[in-house]
Amino acid sequence: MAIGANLSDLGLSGLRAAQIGLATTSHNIANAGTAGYSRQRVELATATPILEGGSYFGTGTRLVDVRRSYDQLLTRELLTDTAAAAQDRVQHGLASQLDALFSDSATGLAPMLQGYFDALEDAAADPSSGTARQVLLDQADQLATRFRTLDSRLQQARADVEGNARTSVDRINALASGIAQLNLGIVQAQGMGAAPNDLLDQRDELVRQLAEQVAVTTQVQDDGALNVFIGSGQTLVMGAKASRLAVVRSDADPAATGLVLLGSGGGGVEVTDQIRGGALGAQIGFERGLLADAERQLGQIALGLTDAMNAQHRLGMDQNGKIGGDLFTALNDPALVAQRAQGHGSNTGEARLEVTVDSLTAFRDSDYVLTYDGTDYRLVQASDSRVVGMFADLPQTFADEGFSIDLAQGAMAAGDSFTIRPAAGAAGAMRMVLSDTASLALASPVRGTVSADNLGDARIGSVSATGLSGLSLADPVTLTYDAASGGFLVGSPPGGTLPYDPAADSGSSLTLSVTGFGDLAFSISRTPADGDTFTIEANRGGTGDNANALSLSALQDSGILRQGTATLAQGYERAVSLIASRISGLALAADAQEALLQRAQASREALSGVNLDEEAAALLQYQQAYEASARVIAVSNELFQTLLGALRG
Amino acid sequence: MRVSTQQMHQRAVELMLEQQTRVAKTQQQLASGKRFETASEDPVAAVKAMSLEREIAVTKQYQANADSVRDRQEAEEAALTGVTDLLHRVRELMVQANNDTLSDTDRQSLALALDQGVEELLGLANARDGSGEYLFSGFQGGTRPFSRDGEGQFAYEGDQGQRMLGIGPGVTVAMTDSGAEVFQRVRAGNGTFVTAADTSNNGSGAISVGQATDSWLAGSYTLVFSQVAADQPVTFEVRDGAGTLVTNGEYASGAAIQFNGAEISVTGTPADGDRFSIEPAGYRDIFSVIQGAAQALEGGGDDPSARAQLYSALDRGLAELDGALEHVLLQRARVGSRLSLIESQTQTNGAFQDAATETLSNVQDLDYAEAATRLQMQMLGLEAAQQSYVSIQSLSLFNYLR
Repeated sequence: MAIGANLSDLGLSGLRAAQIGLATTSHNIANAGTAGYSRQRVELATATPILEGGSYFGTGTRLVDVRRSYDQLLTRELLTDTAAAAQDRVQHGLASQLDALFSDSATGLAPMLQGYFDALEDAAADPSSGTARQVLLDQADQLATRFRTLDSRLQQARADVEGNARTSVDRINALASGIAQLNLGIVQAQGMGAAPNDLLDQRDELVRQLAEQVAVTTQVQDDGALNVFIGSGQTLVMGAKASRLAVVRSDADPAATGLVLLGSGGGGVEVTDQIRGGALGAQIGFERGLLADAERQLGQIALGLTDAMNAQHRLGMDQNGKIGGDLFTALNDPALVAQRAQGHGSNTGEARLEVTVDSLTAFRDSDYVLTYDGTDYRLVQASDSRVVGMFADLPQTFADEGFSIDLAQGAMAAGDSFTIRPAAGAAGAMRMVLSDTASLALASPVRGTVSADNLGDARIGSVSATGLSGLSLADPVTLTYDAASGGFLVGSPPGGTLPYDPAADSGSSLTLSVTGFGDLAFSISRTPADGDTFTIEANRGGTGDNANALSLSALQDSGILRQGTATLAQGYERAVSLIASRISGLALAADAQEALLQRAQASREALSGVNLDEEAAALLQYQQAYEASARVIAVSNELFQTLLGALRG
Repeated sequence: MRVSTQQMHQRAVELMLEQQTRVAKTQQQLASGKRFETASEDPVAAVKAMSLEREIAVTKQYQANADSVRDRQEAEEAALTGVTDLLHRVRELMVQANNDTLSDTDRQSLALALDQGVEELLGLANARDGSGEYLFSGFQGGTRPFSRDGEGQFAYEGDQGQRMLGIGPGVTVAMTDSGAEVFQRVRAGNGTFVTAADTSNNGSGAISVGQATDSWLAGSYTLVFSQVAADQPVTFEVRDGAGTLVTNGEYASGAAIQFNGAEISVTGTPADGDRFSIEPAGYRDIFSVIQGAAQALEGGGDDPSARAQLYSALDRGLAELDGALEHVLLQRARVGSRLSLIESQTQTNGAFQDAATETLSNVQDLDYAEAATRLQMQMLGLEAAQQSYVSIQSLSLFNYLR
């Protein structure tokens, strides 16, 4: 009688199983260092037993499957953490350039600002000195140059963002088409009934590399294909088809990098706002966040300095006796005015807008968006979506925001939008525009004189002028005290009377408006005698006067920025502080994300990774199983020989 | 829990890199002496350091300004000291001149000495500072402030500007004084009114500078003497600008004549019709005061009326010179108080600078002892990581599969 299965068949099945085990273990050892490889293991089951004589007899072992140790949840977690860690790491790297740029004394603004104000003080101490004036001009020029240098570095950073985005996009496109091809192979292989472990691993690895560039979500189809989505569900890979990303200028901001997802049909849709995570998300986030903030703050400081210095310089008199002009490029230079309003790429109208800056102190730390619906314009603050105003016509002045918008040319069509950046271009356009030291207006344009014939002890002081037309005071203004009428008779021009009560008005400020010149402010103190005269005249030859230099220098301590709460230097310090805090926040986030990523990697490795000691043990185990199975065949052979011997015998 | 072999290696390498980064960071801190290299490492401290550096720079500039003002004020003080000394000498000469026994020659030589004084005073008033700027020309730094015109009058070419400079937060101090203020603001006469003898007077009456009380009623007055006949008493009457009689009486040499808050006296014998004027005092320049006395001396004084003119003029000159001395001393006192203000502000600035520098050091400077200890610890950690890696990586089951 035959007992169950053939002994040699049993041995053979064991021998085959051990061989498969050895091969799989060797495959594991070979791929111990392969990125994305999942450890494979052999799954065996007992072969179908046979029923004989009322009992089941085993027929050996059979191979069920070679499975990879894989967990979808762990893989998904790894994808999320990879994208987040890459974004934080890359963004921290990008932002760190700004850190050094703004806070280093060799590249930052602070030392130049200080140098300029120091030179101003030195010129105030010795206003007729050509050397002091030259130093002041040089410092002003260097300050303007530093603004431009900082700006060009920021522009360079923008250009780098675009370049990096292109590299990322190329990589993403390559990976996407790789995944699509693998999908094709996997669907075919799956159709034959078995899981193509190594192809699956390869695809997972490509998806992981994709997550380093951009955050993705995935979905496995029944046929084994993996669909990949980016942003808020935009399809990058669908089965065997991959879409393409392309770098363009952003619609809402022609200066910034935008991304378009090109469908297989050719039509593109901008996805810049939806892109998150990975190196690409970091580039976009950096450009729209910290870089835009740094540009805006630098621009506002440039505008603040320009506005304050130019306005005060125009109230002074230069060494040629002329009223001062602009010290730096004009606040509302034609080139700047146009640069402040950027039409969106999708606009259909021909409108060109101009934005005029009216008041720096009203400035807010935000951009604005102007839209037109065919009937009304709507201005919205970008940072918090606050509606600034709705109106039917342009031009409009926004006193609480500090600027005005005017239509320079054409008209906006319904649905057109403009991004308004009041400080745009200011730092890059900043130049010192004075040509020679004599044009520095360090003196007051007017001076007061007490007549030597006066009998009373009254003095005239604090003589200054505002609202100047740009022309010098042509004729002296004489004030003659008339005790009877209790005030001064003002000589013509401008004529009229000026009440003055020595008991009440001594030392307080008096004002007179002179047509063709501007407004005079001065004070009379103590008691004039009847008929005493005082003269206010053009400060000709007043080369030793430093009154306007002192006023310029006092701007160092005046609240010019941030609704009047910050001086220029403080405004810059706050910008540095903002940048530094964000970067330090990014560094912390990057560390935290890195830790999360390491944990996710460790979890995946714990399940899917290859441990060589384990494989060595498996190698021994399968080797022994092989030897044992071979022994079974040998025993079967011996049994057969025994039988033959018995028959012979 | 399975640890994959690749992960084990990778993790060990990562740990070593991390340790190395820390060591490098500490090493950099030790080399630079600063707690941070970029603002993001400690944003709060970095911005605090920036603002402290700015405050220190501003204070330094204040100190430089204080030095400029001090130099200029010291130059002014030297000139004013010269003026005071000169005025004292001139006063002595004028006291000498006020003497009946002097001959014409004596008076001429005194007049010459006074003229010399005027020249010397001009020199002092036209003094320049170290950089060649005139001290007393207001804002017209390049213009010589005082000169004598063709008619012997003194003209001031400067203006009344006064240069100010900040020497501390909210502390502004005058750097210059104009020539108009220093040399031209001397009250004429006794400071309230000016008395003068009419040039057509025939008598020997000389008028004093007089003195004013608080009830001085400002206005132009004329004192007229009359004597009906040689044996009759001399009488006087004082009339105001409108011709209204203010007071009158019988004349006695040296007796006080009081009216409307003024008290004057006349000595000698005024002739019938001799007139004296009493006018509200304006301002004079010091040059004219001295030159006026010199001219009066040159005018001689042998006949009684000329002598009376001379004494009236000398009396007024002395009073005005005293006023000038007082004015210049006041000016010197102003300079002195400015210099002491500068001194105290310099100390305040210095103290602030020291404090700010110390704070800055606390904010940004490295604690070397702490950093050195930290470096030791980190190097120890790195060594441990390296050694443990070497020992662990040699452990493999394959080593025993021989």
